[in-house]
Amino acid sequence: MSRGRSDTEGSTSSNRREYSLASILHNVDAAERLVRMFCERAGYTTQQCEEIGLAVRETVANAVLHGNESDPSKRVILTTEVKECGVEVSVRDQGRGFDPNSVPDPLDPQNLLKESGRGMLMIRTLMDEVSIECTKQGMEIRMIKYLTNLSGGGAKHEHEIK
Amino acid sequence: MSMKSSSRQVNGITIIDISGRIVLGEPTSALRDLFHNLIQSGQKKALLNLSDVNYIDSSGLGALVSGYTSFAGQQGELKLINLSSRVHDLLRLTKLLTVFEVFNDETTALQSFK
Repeated sequence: MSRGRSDTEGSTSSNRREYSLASILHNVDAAERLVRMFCERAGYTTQQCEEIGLAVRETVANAVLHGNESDPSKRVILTTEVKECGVEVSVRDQGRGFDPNSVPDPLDPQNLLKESGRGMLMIRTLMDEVSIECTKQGMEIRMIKYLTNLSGGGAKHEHEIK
Repeated sequence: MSMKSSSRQVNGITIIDISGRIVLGEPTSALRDLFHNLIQSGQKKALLNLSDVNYIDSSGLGALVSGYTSFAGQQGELKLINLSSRVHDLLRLTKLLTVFEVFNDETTALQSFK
């Protein structure tokens, strides 16, 4: 377990890590760093790690800003786990959740000049599988990026690209 | 790598050279301030050079859109040059390529201003 400037707590096992992050903006950067390190060790390419890192940024930013409404007493639970097809990242907040279908389509011409609303589009594009679950305890987004490059060492699982 | 920026003037047009990551937090705040200050000082034509930016998140895209609408609101123009392939891909994905005028070289971009 560690505690640093970004107020994170973590637990580890051989192929799974869980972190409890305070709902502060700095932890968006921290989450990206943690997941990228995990994915580099799992064997993803640099570009894949960047894509996963960007999806994690968007997800954790949503959890901090919208889910937990920047309430520092609420936590964001970040989990990374090696699965058969690749790494699964889940981000769970303690907010009231939202209906993903209620977010205006950022590609609609009348929304192109809006300053926000592109995060979910980016997450769905950058990751291979995305699922959203809303419970009374908060909202959880699970994302998987298939591990298609097998030359980097670490987790090596064959999987067909979707 | 944090974001850095510097500005220069060519023929009455402000060229803003950006390097690093345009992401949520200090970088996007700095970029919004930069646009605001340019407009406040009467600069209405700006070119954002993104050649050294290869990482941008949705907040960064929001800052670019904010700059675009702020300049347009003052009858000005904000255009982009030298997009990396990743930034280009993100602008294409989000259809912001249909919003911004984008150029591959500075000379052509400068000539495009009326």
